[in-house]
Amino acid sequence: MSDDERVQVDVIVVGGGPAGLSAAYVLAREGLDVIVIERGETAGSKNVSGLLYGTVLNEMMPGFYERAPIERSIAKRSIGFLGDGVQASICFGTDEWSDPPYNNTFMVYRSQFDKWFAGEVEEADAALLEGMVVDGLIYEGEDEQRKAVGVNIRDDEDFYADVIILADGANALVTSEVFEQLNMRRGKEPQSYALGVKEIIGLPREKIEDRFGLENNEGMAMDLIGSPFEGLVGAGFIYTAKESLAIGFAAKVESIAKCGRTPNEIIDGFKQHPQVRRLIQGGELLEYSAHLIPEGGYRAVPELIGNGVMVVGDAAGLVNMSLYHEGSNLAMASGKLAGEVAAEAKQKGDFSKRTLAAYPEKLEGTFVMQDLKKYQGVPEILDHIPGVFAEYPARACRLLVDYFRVSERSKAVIQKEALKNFLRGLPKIQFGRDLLRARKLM
Amino acid sequence: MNSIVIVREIWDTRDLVGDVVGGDGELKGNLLTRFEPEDLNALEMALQIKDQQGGKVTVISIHPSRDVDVLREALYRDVDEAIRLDDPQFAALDTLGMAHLFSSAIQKVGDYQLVLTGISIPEGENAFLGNQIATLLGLPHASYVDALEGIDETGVTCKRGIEGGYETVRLPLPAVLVVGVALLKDDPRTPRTAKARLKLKHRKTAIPTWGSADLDASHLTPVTTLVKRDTVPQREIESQSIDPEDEAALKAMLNEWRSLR
Repeated sequence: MSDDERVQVDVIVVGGGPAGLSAAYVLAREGLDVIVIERGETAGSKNVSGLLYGTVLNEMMPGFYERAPIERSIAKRSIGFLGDGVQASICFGTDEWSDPPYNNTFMVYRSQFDKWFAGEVEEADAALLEGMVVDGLIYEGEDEQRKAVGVNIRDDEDFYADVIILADGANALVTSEVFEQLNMRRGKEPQSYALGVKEIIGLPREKIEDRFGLENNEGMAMDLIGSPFEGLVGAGFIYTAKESLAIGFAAKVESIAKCGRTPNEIIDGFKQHPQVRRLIQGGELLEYSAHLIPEGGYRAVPELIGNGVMVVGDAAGLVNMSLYHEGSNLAMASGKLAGEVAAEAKQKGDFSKRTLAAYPEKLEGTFVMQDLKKYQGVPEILDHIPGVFAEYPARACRLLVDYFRVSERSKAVIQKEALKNFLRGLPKIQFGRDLLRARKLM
Repeated sequence: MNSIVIVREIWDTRDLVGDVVGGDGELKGNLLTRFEPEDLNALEMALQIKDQQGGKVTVISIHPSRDVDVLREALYRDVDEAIRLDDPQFAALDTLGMAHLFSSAIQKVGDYQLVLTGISIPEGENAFLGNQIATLLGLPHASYVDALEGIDETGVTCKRGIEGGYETVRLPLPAVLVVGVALLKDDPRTPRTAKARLKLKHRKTAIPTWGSADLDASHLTPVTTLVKRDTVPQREIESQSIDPEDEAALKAMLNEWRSLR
C-alpha cells in the first residue's frame, strides 16, 4: 500500500465483539486480508461480563480455556425463587463440570476476555483498529446491483473491501442503515430489547468459595426470579468470579419503563432481598454497567445477507433468551460461519448475494437457528404470562414453606391448607393455560 | 525544524472506585494504562510544527509497554521515528537517573531544535524530568508551556501559564519545553487521534530498543530510594436504611441523633 493508494482489503469487520472477532479469526487463518474496526478504546470495552459458552470457540481454538482470562468455570448452577420473606432454589452440578472442558460454561469479564480474543486475532494476522467509529458504508450501483463496497470511518478516510461483515452489536446503528440502503428484509416481527444491568462486587476469594460452596476455580451461576422483579419481564442473576461477584438483572425495556422503578432501584431491591444480601454482604462495589440485549428471537431475525454484506451476532438478533440465555456462543458461531463463507467467496472471486447465501443456509443447520426456532415463542409467552417472574414463584415458595411448616396439626391438614393458600385468588383456567404455555420455556 | 518528544505510558486510574494502592504500596486490581495526556499535548505541538515547517519528529519512551504502547500510538499519529529505552538495569531509576538516560538518548538521536515533554512525572510524583534534562544538556527551558506562538531559526516564542494568567517568553534554540496540563476538548490544539491508514502501516513496524550499552549508563543507581508508601485511609461512612413507614424506627433514629449532639 503506497501512501496515496486507497486502502482495499478482502474483508472489513465492523465491531470487535465475539461475533466480529470470530469472523476475523477464521478469515485471517485462511490468509485473507482482514481489518476489524472497533469503536471502543479496546475490544470489549463497550461490553460487560457474564456467562460464556465456549463450544464454538473451542472448535476454533482447542483448549482456549487454558490460555484465556477466565474468572471461573461454572461447576454449579442454580435456579432460585425469591419471595417476600421466602425463598426456594434448586442447585445442581456434576463433578464432570469441574474438569476440562468444564461443560463449556465460563464466567468471564468481557473487557479482559474480548481483549485477549482480539490479541489472538491480531496474532493470526488480522488488523485491529480500535477506537475508530464506522459511520456508515459506501455503496456502488443502483437497485438490484447496489452493493456495499467500503466503510466510512469517522474523522478519517474511507476503506474498501470485497465483503463487509456487520458485527456492530445490539444497538446496531451501522447495520440498521445498511438494511435501508440495500433493501434487506427485516424480521417478521420488530426486534425487542432487554436491558441488562450489572454490578461487580468485590469480595475475598475465600468468602466467595465458602458462601457458594466452591473449590479451586469452580464457579456458580445463579438465576433468580421472584419478588424483586415484580412487574418486570425479566430475571436476576449472580455469577461468581475469582474475587468478585457479578450481580444484576435483565428485563424487557418496555416492562422497566412501565414498572415505575428505575433500573437502579430494581437492582437495589434485588440486592436487599434477605437471601441475596447475605451472599453479597461485606462486598465492595467495584463497577456497574448496562447493556442492551436483543431478545426478539427467531421471529425478529432479519435477512442476514445483502450484496457485499453479512450480518452476525447481536446485530442480527441471534440471542437465545430462554433459560440458557445464550448470546456470545451464537455470536461466535455466526461469525465463524460468515468468515468461512467469505473465505469461500474470495476463492471463487464472487461476492454477490448469491454466493453469500451459503451463510444463512448453513446457519439454519446449526444449533444457532435450531435453538432460536425452538424458543421462538418465548418472547410472546413471557409477554402473556406476567406472573411467571414474580407471582408464580412467590406462590411456589409459599407452597413449600407451608408444606414443611411444623406444628401439632396433622400433616393432612397442613398440606391441604398449603395447597389452598397456593391456589387462593388464582383463576384456575388462567393458571392451567399459563402452565401449558410455560412448558415451552424449558 | 526537528523535535524530540519524550512520551510515557501511565496507569489509567480514571474509572477506579476504592483504593488503588494496597497497604504494601503495590497497585491493586486490573489496572490498564493510557498515554500520559500532557505528553500527548507535547506530541501534538511537535506534529503541528512538522505540519507547518516540515522536519522530523522523534519520540522516545522508557520501559516495555504494559498495555497502550505510546510509541506505536505516536507512529499512528505520523512521527518519523520511535525509540524505546529498555534494559533490566533501568527498572528502578529515580527522576535524575531517568533524566541522565533521556539526555544521553537525545544526544544519540542528535540534530534537533526542540525537546518537548509533558509536565507530569507519575513515576516520581514530581515535575522535574524536563527541567533536569535541560540542565544536563545545558539548554534553556520553559515549563508550563500551553502554546507555541512562533518558531524560527532564531528561537521559539511560547505562552506559559503562571499564577493568575499567562506570560509569553522567547528562548533561543535548541530548547527544552515542558508542556502543561491537558487542553480543552474543543481547543484547536487538541491532540490529534490515530489515523486508520497509519495503524495499518505501522502495526508491525519494528521499534528499535536502546539499552545500557547504547547509552550513558553511569547514573543507574538511584540517589533517592523509596522507603515505604502510606495511603491516607478513606473516611468510612456507615449508612443505615430505615423504612419511612416505620414510626418507631424513625423515632429511634432521631433519638440517636440527639444523643450524638
